[in-house]
Amino acid sequence: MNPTGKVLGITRRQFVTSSALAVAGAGLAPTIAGTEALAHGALGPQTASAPSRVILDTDTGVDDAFALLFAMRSPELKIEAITAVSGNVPLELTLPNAMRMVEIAGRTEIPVAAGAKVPLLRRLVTAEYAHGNNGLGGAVFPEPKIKPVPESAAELICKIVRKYPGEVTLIPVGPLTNIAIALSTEPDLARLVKGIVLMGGSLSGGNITPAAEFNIYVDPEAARIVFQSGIPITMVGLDVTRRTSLTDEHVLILQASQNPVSQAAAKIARNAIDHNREQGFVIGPNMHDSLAVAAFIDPSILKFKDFYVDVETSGELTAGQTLGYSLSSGDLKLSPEMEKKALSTMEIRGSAPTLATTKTSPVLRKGFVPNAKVAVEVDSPRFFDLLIGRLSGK
Amino acid sequence: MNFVRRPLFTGIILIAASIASWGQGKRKVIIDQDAAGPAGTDQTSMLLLIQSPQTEVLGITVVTGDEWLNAEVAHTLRMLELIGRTDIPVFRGAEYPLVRRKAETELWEQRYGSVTWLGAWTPKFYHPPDQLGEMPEGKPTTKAADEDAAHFLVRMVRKYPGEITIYAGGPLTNLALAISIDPDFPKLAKELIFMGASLNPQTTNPEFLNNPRHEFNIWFDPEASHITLRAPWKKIVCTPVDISVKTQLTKELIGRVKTGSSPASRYIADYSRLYGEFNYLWDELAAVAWLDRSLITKKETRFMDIDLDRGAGYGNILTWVESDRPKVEVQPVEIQVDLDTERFYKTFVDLLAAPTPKPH
Repeated sequence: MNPTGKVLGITRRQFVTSSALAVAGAGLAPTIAGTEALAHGALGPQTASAPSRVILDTDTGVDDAFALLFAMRSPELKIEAITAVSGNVPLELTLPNAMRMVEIAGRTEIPVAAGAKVPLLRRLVTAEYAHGNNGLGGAVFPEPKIKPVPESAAELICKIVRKYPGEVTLIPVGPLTNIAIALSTEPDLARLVKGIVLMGGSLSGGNITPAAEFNIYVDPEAARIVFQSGIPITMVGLDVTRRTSLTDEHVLILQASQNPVSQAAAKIARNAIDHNREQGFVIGPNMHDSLAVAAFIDPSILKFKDFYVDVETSGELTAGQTLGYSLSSGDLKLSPEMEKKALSTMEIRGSAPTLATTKTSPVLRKGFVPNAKVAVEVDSPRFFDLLIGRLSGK
Repeated sequence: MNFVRRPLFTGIILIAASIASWGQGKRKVIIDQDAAGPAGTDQTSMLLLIQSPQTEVLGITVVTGDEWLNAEVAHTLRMLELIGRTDIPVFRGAEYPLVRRKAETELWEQRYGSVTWLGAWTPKFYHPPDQLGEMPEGKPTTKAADEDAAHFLVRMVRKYPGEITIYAGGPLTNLALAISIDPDFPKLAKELIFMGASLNPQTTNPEFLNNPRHEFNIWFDPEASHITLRAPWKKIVCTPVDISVKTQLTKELIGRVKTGSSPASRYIADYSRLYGEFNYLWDELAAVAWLDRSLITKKETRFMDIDLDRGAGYGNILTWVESDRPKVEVQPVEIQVDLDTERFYKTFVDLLAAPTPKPH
C-alpha cells in the first residue's frame, strides 16, 4: 500500500484560502515541498488506519470498471455506496456493469443504486465508440445476482451524507446528473458534503467536441449546479487523464496475477485495447476515472491549481465546456506582492457585449474565489504503479 | 352547517361525481406550491383545495418562487395549524431553480431591462434564504416532513398510479426533479394542473405589456418548465395570465369572505392585503377551476415549450397549434380562456366560509 495519504485536516475555509500558494506552485516542474503539500491533500484520506467515507457515482464503461475495482481494493476508502447514471452507455447497462464489478471484487455489502436514465434536460449522448456496445469494451461477464437498493441514487446519496455529516466525499466519474438531483432536492445537502473529487471537464480542449469533455458535455446543466454548489471540488479532467493510456504491458501484469479482480481487469483491458485498435486508435484507453480515485487516495501523484470553474450551458458549439478563471489565465504575470491584491479585485467576465446590449462586458463576479482545485500535472508512472499494483494485488 | 347539503354546491358535487367517481372516494391531489404568505394567492389557493370536501390533499410540496423555500414552508405549516389540518404533510423542495441564479438574472436585467416581479429575489422584499421574513400570523410549532418533495411525489404516484392530480402553483423545479428521478412520474400521475404561462393577455399591467410571453412561474425556472412541459403527462391543464387578468381580489370580495366564521375565513380576513391595482386571483382560479371545471366557459389546445436560449427571450413561453407545431415531443396543453366570473367568486367565498373538512 502506498502510504502517501497526507494527514491534512483542511477545512473548507482553508481549502479556499490555500489558493495563493497553490497557484504559485502549480504548473512548474520542480516542486517546492511545502507548496506541494498545500496544493493537494485537502480532500485526501485522513489517515491510513481510518478509511474515508466515499460514494462512487459511475456510468460504468471501461475506465469506470477499472476505477470501481481499484477503489474496492483500496483500504483507504470506506465505500458507502455505488450509484449508477447514464453516460458512456445507458443506465440499463451501467447499473448491471457496476453490480458485476461489485460481485467480482467480492464487495456485495456495498449498496448499489440506480440513478438518472437521462440528463436533466438534454437527450442522452452515449460513447459506444469508446466503450463498446456493452460498456465494457465487449468483455462479457455473467448477469449480476445482486439487486440494486430500492432508493434512487439521489436519495441514497442524501441519506448517507446526512448520516455522516461533513465526512463523505463524492467521487463522480460520469455525467453529474445524480449529484445535481441530490443537491437540488435537498437544499442543505451541499454544506454536509465533505468534498467532490470528479472526473470531468478540461481546461485544455475537449474530446467529444473541441470544447467539451464527455461527462460535462452529456449534462452541462447538472455540471453547472455541481460547480456552483459551494462544495470544495477537485477536478480531474482531460488535462491530466489524457496522459494515462493503458498499455499491453499493463495487461500482461494483470494477467499474471491470479486474483479474480486482476483477471477481470485484464479481460476488460484486453478487450478495450483490441477495441481501440479495431477503431484505428494507436493507443489504449485512458484510465480517466481511475485517476480521479487515485487523486483522492494519493493526491501527491498530481499537481493542482486553484481555479474558479464555470460551465458553458448555452453555447451553440461549446455547451459543456469548462472554463477555468485564474490570474494566470491573463497574458501578463504579476509580481508576487501584486498578486494578492489582484486576486481580490479580479473580474470574472462573460462574452463581449453586442451593440444591442451593455456598453461594457458583463462582470459575472468581482474577486477571485476558487471553487475547484484542478489537476494540471500527473506523474503517470506512479499512477500506474498504484493502479496496477492494487488491481494485481502486488 | 352541513356543507354538503347546501344547494349552492350541488353543481360542484355533480361534476366531482362524474369526474372522480364520487362513491369510490375523494379526488387525490398533491399541491406543489411556492407558498408565500400569509394569505395571498399562494396560501389561499391551497386553502381552497383543502376546504373542498371533494379532495384528499396527500401533501404539500414547497418550492422557492414568490418567496424562499424556508419562509414558504413556515407560512404553510402555520396556515395548516390555524385551520387545524396539521395532518397534511409539508415537504421541502428546491431552494433554487435548476440553472437560473440571482447574480446572472441581475446581469440579464442590465442588458434587457428590469423584471417587474422577481419573487424571492425582488429587491423591495429581499431577505436571505435562511431567514423567514415577517410572519404576522405567528411562527409554526409543527415541522416539515423528513422526505424531500421530489421523492415524495415519485413515491405517491407509484402508490396510487393514475389517481393523483398534481396541482402546481409555482415554478416547476420540484416536478422537473421528480421527472429526472423517475421518467415514469408524469405517466403515473392522473394529470398536471398548473398556474403559469402567458400568451396574449389583454391588460394594461406593465408586467405583461411589452413582453406578453413572460410569466414568473415559468420564467423563474425555464429549464424545469421545459422538462415538465415536454414530459408525457396524460393531461396538462394550464391557467395562464390571459385568464388570471379577468379575475380580481377586491375589498368587496374580502368583505364577503369576512362574513364567514370558519378558521379559513378568519385567516383570510386577518391577513389578506391588496397591493396596487392588479390583484388577480392567479392560483385561486387554477384551484377552483379544477374543483369545478364548469367554471371555465372557453378553452383551447396549444402545444407548449419554453425558450431556453440565453438571450432577451430566455424563459419566454412558446406555443403552437397542431398545424405548425414541431414534429417532436411537444405536449398538448388545455388552456383556459374564459370563465364564469361571478360563479367563480361565489364558489371562492363559499368554500372559504365552510367548515374545514376533518382529516381523513
